[in-house]
This record gives sequence, C-alpha cells and structure tokens, in this order.
Amino acid sequence: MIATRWRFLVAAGLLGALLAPAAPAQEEKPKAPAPQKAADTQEELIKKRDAKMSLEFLKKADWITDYDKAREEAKKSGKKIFAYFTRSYAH
Amino acid sequence: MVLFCHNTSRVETDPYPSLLGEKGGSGFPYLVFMDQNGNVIAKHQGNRSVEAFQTTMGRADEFLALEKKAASGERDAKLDLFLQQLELRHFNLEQANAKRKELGQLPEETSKKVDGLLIGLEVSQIVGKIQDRKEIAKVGGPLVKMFEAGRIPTGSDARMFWSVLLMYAEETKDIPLFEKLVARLEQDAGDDPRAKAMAESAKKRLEKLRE
Repeated sequence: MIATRWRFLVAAGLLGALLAPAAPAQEEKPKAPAPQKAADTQEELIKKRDAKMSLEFLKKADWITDYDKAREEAKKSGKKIFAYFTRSYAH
Repeated sequence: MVLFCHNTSRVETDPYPSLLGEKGGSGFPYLVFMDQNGNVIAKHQGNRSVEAFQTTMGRADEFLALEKKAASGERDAKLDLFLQQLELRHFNLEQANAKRKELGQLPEETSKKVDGLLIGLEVSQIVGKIQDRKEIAKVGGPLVKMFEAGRIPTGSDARMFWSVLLMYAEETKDIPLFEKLVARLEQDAGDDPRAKAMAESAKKRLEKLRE
C-alpha cells in the first residue's frame, strides 16, 4: 500500500503534468470561455462533463469528486484535503 | 491526503455549482488545501511541480499548527490566525466583524491590516452577487459609496473593485463618476506597470464615453 503522502505526491505530479504547459503563474483571473454560437444545452453540458470526468488522471489516483464524501473521508481519516477545481463547460 | 476534484459543469442538477467562488477561486485551475470541514487553509500559486505543491502543503500544515496554538489561548497566535482566516475568506463580513470585536483592542499595525482585509471582504461580497454584466447596476451604488468614503481595497480585490466601478460608470453613462475614477487610478498607479496600464485603458474608455 502506497503511503498517503507518496500517493499525494504522485497525484500532484500527475496533476502538474496534466496542467502543463499552462501559464507559469496561477493567476486567479477568469478565463474567457471559447466562442460559442449559443449557450450549450444541458445535454451538451452533460456530455462535456462526462468526458471530463472520464479523463485518465482521475483513474491514476484516488480522486473523490463528491464534496460531501471528500469531507467525510477527511474527517474519518484525520487528513487534509487537496482540492483541484476545474471546469468542463468550456476549454 | 484526501484528493478532491471539483468540476464546474453548469449542469443544473450537479451539486455545489458555486463551490469555486465559495472557496475563493475565480478562475481555473484552482488548487487549494482544505481542512476536514472544507475550509481553505492554503492556496497553491505559481508553478505546478511536486516541490511547489510540497511547499504549499507545508503552509497548510503551518496553518493547522497555528490553529492549535490559538486554541491554547496564545494572543499573538490568535491575531495571526485571524489575519490568515481573513485572507483565506473563512468568514463573511458579519462573522469577521464579530470576530474582530471578540478579539478586543488590536495593535495599530494589526488593526490597519484587518481594516484593509475587511474592505476587501466587503467588496468581494458585494461583487459576488453579480452573475453577469447585466447585473452591474445592483452593485454599483454600494461600491460608489465605498469609493467616495475612501474605502478602497488593495491587491486582487482592488482590480475587481475598479473593473466593476468603471463598468458601472460606463453602463450608466456617468461621465463625472468615470472622470473621478480615472483621476484616482492615475493618482494611485505610481510606478506599478499594471496599475498604470489600467489607468491608461480607463482613460481611453473615458474618451469613448465622451463621444
């Protein structure tokens, strides 16, 4: 069993690789969404979400995508949460 | 470490659609460490190497250690913790003011920092009500009052403050207000290239508004 700290470092490494090459500094500026002819329908948004949630990186470590479950797990285990916020509605 | 991935999907039935904003984020990707209750305890900024993440994780551990020290009653630790909690937006404005009262008389330097952070918090709460540009009118009035009272935020809250105020003056075609905003931006820009660029861009918008 890989120790928790090392699992985190592996996940962080994978995440870093997935997010590179991004802007050198993470600035909290809203990114302009890709140009769209009209707003996506709910069906299109669901397709985009499902595509995002089936990306490989989520399978390579124990990512929890449910906020309530993440907090529950953190309380049960006494561990911190590392949170990665992303989006699927635009690129 | 519990690994949590939140995806903003805009699917109406997905839970926690505003979690990014609630946790202090305004763009993607946004990477933070949280405690077991979901309070942000360190924000990751800069490069995304394993070493950089470890550094941020260290800051998260320091925050938790500071919480323990503050809980034991150490006054300096309580003040440091309060400042960090304000920066990490653990409180809404009402809670923050109540906490400040609870701490009693603050050293002058700390009091100034707290005042600055509370102004930033107030601005982010006001601006947080806007979903898109059409709603600017909702928040313009309170922001104008803050501007006229000299209660002007610094840092990233300042950029949001000025952007929304300029948009509001533009939308309402309030040229005198726009002129005052430009004058203040120019006065405060100093040698900061970003601030100077913002003032310059505002001047051009003012010229267009006058046409």
